[in-house]
Amino acid sequence: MIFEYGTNRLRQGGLSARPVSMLDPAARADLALLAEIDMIENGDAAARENWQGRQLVNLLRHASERSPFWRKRILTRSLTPQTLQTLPVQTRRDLIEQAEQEGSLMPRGGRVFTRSTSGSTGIPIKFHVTEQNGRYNSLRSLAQILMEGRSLHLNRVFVQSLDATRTLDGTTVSVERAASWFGPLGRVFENGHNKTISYVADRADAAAKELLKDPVGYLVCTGRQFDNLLDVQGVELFKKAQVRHWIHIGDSQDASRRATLLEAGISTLSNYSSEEVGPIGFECAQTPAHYHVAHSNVIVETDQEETAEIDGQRLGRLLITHLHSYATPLIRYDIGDMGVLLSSCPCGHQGPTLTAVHGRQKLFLRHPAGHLLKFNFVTKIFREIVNCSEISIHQTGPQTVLFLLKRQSELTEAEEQQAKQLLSRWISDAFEVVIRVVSEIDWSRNPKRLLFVNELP
Amino acid sequence: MPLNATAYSGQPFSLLDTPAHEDLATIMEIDLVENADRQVREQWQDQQLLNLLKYAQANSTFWRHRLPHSLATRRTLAKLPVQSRNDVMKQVQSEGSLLKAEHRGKDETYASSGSTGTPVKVHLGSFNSRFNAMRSHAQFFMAGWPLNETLTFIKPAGADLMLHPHDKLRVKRQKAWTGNLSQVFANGPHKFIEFAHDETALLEELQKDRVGYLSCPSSFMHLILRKAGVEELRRMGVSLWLHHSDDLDVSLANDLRQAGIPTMSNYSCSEAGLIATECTAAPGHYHVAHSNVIVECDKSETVLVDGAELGRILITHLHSYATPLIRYDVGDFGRLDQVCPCGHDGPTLSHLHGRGKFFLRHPEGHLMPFYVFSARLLEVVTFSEFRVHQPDLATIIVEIGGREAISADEEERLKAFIIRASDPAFRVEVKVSPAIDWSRNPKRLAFTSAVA
Repeated sequence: MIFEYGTNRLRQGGLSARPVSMLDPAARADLALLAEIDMIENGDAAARENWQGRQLVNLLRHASERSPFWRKRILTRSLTPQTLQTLPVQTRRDLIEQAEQEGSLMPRGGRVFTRSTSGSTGIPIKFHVTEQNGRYNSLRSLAQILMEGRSLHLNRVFVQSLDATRTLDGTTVSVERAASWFGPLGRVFENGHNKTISYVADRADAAAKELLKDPVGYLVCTGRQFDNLLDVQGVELFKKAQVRHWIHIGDSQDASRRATLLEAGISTLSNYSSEEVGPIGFECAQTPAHYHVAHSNVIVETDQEETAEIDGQRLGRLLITHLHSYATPLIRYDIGDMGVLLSSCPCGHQGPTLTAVHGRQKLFLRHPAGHLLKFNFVTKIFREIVNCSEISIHQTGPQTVLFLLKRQSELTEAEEQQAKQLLSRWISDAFEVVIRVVSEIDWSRNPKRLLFVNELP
Repeated sequence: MPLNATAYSGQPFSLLDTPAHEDLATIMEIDLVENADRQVREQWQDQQLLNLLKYAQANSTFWRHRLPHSLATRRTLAKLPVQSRNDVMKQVQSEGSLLKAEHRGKDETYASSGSTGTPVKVHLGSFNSRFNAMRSHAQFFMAGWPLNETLTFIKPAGADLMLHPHDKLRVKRQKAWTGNLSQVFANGPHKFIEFAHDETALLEELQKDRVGYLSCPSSFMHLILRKAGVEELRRMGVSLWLHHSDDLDVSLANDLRQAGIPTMSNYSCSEAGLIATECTAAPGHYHVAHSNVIVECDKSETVLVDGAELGRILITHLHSYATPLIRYDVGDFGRLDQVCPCGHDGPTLSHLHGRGKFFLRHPEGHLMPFYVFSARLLEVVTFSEFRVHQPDLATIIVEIGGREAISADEEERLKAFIIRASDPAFRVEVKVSPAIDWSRNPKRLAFTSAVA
């Protein structure tokens, strides 16, 4: 069959009670879409590339027809899949400019949402997504579970930072629960529960306590959150919480974390994604640190005009074309990361595969006592308190952290007070926090526009 | 399953085009139901049965008389009377299709099966035709049989072809046989042969192209093998024999398997569609098509075949909204077990008899199996066609076609053969003619009984 369901079983009453129906419509549609995603991701390369080419032409036509910004960039009317390589790189600034000037490019009628990035490179981005983007992103992550033959019985726990409002009102940890995490198919298959733990940065202990209340199964969080939890009780915490798999998202992965977990019998899988695009690559289960490109969502290129050499490998700038970005087109979008693009994976997967991905944000302060300290700064949450278009953070001295905020007006007293209050919960008391408002941030010494730069020698 | 280069949709934000997406969804649903845990599957069947019973009760006077006021699914089912062919005909004649006009669609069709000498007409909804096609495709996915193989289907010629004595067969070709999914998956061609007569012509037609999956009844496979032999079948590229329609000749299937040609038999009827598919691990055992039917075995009338006591097979077609088939006596005998020797945890049929309706009514009143395959008969007497008929309890008439006359010795041997295949209690008559008159038996059934 297309999917081998392995040990996954149907739920009692999971099949439809309607006449001449086997599954209810939403579950039926999802099941077929999961199979289709699997076919594209793992099927014949020729069929996949043909589909990508047609989807790309659809997107280019849409952008060209509905956007003056894109008309200036897409100079030909004779659109083919090869047109892509003739287009200029789309920077974050380009994206911001287009989204601000033109808004969503979707025709009226469909549901469009405005999103913003966490701002890991210092320039938060507002962009638009469609309802279909959200549905695809969700299905794509579920498809990965089935494609890897993993269990649906396990619970899934998502750990994240608490938002600004909850942080300021004194909440330490908040928990949301759902009966399943497999969408409409959660009513069809036996499926573990879903739990989302949101906690304030300095209270990882509270998050850990919550983590221990139920068997975890799949732990989904960033490397930063993982490290915070690891600090509480070490790897014993994950063993006690019955974590079976850690699904790493969002930031840089670290081989040492993988090794630590492996010793405890916990496997690690890393997803390479961005808020603008959704999934970009899924780490190969057989070849760590290699990411099979999410063919059903993106085309990835490497721009070799600016390269970096790390550990003897020559890395290029990763350019992403999001095939379904109809609201805010992302075409040859410079996502801010560097890496190596292989035409296939050492595991045998016949499709573009990323490795040596660098640039996913690392935030470490050097503590006055000499050790490195994880810095739990979340731009998105900070900007809920202080409106600013760019942020640049510098450790300028052993005890000083400077925040440069680009905005037109000075902070009000209330804004400054709230900002410092928030930062004090994120950063150790050992540091003095300095907030400075500027009309322009000088990025000339930080061309990758990293959110955080440690200036200590 | 290899994909076509243009497998996927060219529409924005689409992976497959809608018709292919819909078909794929149905096939995946069928897979889930057929292979679900027993409890889950039976719960679904109970609910579907309840839907059907309620519908029949609400829309049919005929069924209101048969069904109790309070419906409780399986327990209700076991208490309902057996639905005979006459019952079906009566309901259809008096009430027509029970489908409401808005659900009928454009292609409401009739199916007719005259294999027992009593043709039955039933109404089918368009969803029935679609389900039957999808269930058939699903079997290939579930078994892992490649779709990029030719499918050659042979069926008996219809009356229109039979009325033209010079036309030996009719051939239709299509590029693919998986419908909407042929856009997605690399799919072999479909060759559809309606066969009237002249096995030489049939063989020549088969030799023209790679045969691939050969779908035909036992009777046709006998013809082909007699003419060509198993080695020729291999040369023609027969990769699988998909048997359907008549009684499976087990020795024939064994011969093919020994020669490296796998076989699989489908147990189906035109009124209900697929009833069961033969287990590939345990030949002779048929996994019930849970997504389509509930099967019961009625022991109130049994037959003994090779020491096994077989009951009447009763079918409840879960999607028979146009003409409800509920505990329908499909005319076959068999054994129903609750699991298959292969480990499949679901109702499993075996010892199926009567699929060519090869049952005689013994002069003492009981039923007895009666098999006369052409290959065996040809060892006794040469002919181009034959037919056997039981007109009354005591008589068996054997008609030999393609001969002006036969010798007394041949007649004697033929009678002895028929007696050996049946019982000395019968009187055997032999009729010889240059051409058998099939006008009253357009399905050209080799055997019919007026009393079985």
